[in-house]
Amino acid sequence: MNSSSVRKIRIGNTPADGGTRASSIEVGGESCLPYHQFEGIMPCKPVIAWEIPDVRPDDWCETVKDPYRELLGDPVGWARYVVEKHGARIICLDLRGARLDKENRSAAASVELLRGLLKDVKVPLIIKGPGPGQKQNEVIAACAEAAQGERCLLASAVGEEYKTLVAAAIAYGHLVVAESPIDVNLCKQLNILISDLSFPSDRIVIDPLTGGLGYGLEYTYSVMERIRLQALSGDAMMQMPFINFVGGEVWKAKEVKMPAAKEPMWGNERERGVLWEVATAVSLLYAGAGILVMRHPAAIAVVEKTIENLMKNG
Amino acid sequence: MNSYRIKFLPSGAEAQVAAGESLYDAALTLGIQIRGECGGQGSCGQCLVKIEAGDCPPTPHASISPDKERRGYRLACVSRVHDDCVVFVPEESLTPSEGLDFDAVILSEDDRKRERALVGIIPVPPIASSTVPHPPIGFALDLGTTTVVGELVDLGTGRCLARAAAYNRQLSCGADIISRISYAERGKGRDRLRALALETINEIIGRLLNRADVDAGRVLLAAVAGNTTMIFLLLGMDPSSIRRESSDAVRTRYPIIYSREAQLKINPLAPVMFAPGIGSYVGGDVLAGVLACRMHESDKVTLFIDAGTNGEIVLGNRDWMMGCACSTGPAFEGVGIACGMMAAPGAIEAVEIARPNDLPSLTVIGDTQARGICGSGMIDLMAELFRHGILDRNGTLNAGRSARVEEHGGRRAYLVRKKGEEGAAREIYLNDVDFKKLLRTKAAIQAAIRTMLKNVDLEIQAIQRVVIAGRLGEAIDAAKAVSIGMLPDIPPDRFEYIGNGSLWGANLMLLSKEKGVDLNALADRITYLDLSTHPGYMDEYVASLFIPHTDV
Repeated sequence: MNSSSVRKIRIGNTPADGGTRASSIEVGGESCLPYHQFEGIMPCKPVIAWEIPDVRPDDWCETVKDPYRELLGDPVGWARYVVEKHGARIICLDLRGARLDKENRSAAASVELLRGLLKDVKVPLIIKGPGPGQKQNEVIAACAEAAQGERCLLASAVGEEYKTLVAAAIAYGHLVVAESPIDVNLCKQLNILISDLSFPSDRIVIDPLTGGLGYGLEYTYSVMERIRLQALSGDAMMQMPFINFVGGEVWKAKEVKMPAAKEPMWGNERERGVLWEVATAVSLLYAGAGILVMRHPAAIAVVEKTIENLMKNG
Repeated sequence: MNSYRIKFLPSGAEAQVAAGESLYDAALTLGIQIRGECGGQGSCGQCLVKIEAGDCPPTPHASISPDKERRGYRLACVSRVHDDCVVFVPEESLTPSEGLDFDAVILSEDDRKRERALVGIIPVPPIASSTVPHPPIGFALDLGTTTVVGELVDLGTGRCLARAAAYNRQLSCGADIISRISYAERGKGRDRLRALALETINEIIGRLLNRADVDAGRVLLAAVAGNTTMIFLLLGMDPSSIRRESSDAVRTRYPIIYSREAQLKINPLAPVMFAPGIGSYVGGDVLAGVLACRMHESDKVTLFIDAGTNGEIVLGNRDWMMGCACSTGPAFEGVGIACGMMAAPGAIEAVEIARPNDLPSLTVIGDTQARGICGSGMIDLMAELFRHGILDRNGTLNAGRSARVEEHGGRRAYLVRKKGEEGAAREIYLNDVDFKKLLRTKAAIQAAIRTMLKNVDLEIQAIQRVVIAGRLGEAIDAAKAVSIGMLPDIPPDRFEYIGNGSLWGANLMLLSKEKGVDLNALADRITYLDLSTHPGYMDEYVASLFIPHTDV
């Protein structure tokens, strides 16, 4: 890889690397703008991570709960289902149940769940903590230890609170998501801060933060574009692949939830929701997304297909 | 509305205070600077006072134990006046600068700078001192947002007769220009601000007359340099247009008026001149500074930086000049920083740290006991802490790197001096919040410089001379300021510190008819760059909120 390409990142360790995953996943490595394969190489295709919440997601809207109906309170069964039935290549375990404003589950409970998941499901894993604060540090540190050697992607290190998460990733051999609020300089600054802790740059994934379609998506788009241009012109502190948490942004939008009975002009809300997630995800692909964290199987199927087409024809 | 008599101890100062006003503001109007880094939010707990007489309801706060509460301890900032009170202000609750002889603020070095600024200015000949028993005297005033400095000048010889300084009493109505403007827009705010400005100035004039032992009637000419807002408020004009976006038309030209109209307590018929403004946020004080450093006469591309509450920057030379302003906040002047103070005796002006755990070695102005830290000391401290990894690139203190980083009042702080160390009378520290403020101050200046250079398409290396004005402190160490990114990375020998450029400029207006008249023409030569609406500035600012900065 030359000095003006995005770093290639590997998530998940197979037994050969000292882990227990059946496969690992690589993202990044491109030396051109997204899908401009006539100008350079794009060795890894973008990947979709299936979002699995640790507790019953009562705030999810019906459209996106429906496909998983009997699995909603059973994260391990849910994960097994998406891997076996939908061919999921990577899972994003969302430890939202540990949030103080949710069920405030203990770090021990998160660890127990994680162990069960690692045992039953053999794809690589993204572990998303409950969000900034003391709880995040407790939960992520405990989970990082429990998943030692599995090379998981830990989300997310943020501006003022990145040290505990990064330290856990160093200690137990994981990767980190560096989350900054839609700004090129803040993105680079966090990458430098994390690197200052002697954390290798080829284990960082950038989350530039995004909104769903209609909620400032174009702003994320242009920031991602700027980060990528900077990376391709040789800025080592910007040469990380992107992750976008699409599902969480899309499925909270009014446009997704509104029943057709109330807004007949907007059409069937079930189709509308899926299309909203597709449109958001595809836009982010064009901006250079490497990992898309998504929810609805129908949307994921369309985006998978789109990725295939883009890679083939790009 | 009712008003009450409030007496502050130990000073004994008294004021008639409107019901509902806070004790904190009441003290400030009397010039008693009570600490309060939270800005009157009732959260920092630094403004503890003791009610000796009168009624004042309790103000619950972690720093007030039930016992202390019984003994009358209250937070000054959230205590609303509703009774005649006697209030004791403990030493710990006062800012380090409180009680300082402000005249001492102006150091002897300033005299040298003054002489240099005035080189080649011939005293007005017809009324030279030899023929007149009592030569006429001029009054030069630097009217700052935070600090006000005045000087009496012998118009025959150009000699300084007396100098005095004070905090601007308008501070009780907001620390920066924007909050003053919004204060002016509310109710009788404008009248009150004008009254406070006049109180501040006339108090200074009183002290000057005393000190020089002259009669007010002999002061026959005055020159005032201040930012646009300060001058508007002094003259009782409506400042609300200043912050409107389309107001690059605020290239203000002020007429010369009689001092009785300006209400200055000098000879009522003395003409008062005002330095004209360049733009909404680049006022006559900056123009005066430009005049004093003579960049407009030089071939060298000069960067003039006035690091006051509002940071103003002028770039250029005799052929072209461009000016802009950025909001730096009063941190470098010592306001809003836990142990901050102005560059005056007792202020730490330079800091060296040999090893992370070592006691920092300090240079203190006036060779006295350290009582606080001034702008140049803060810059040094940041650079030294950063060099040792004690301060992160984003301005956070690193607990593991130095034993001198401690929890202090619920925040992480670096202790420059603990009580008793090297005989220190009080502890001196800066906490996480202070460093964030300093980072923002540094970022504002740095971003303004970078934006301006981009605008004229110049590289940093093209700057041949950097002139620093303001009350940062004489000891500013260019290399250290460069290391944190505040000043452009060019050889140290191109830096120069002139101190109070605004006051020297006002002096020039008094002493030279040509210079005074030139000012309007000079103002016309400087292009105003409005950073508040400049698309690139915010990007540069975010890039600069980092040590040294990022460049994307």
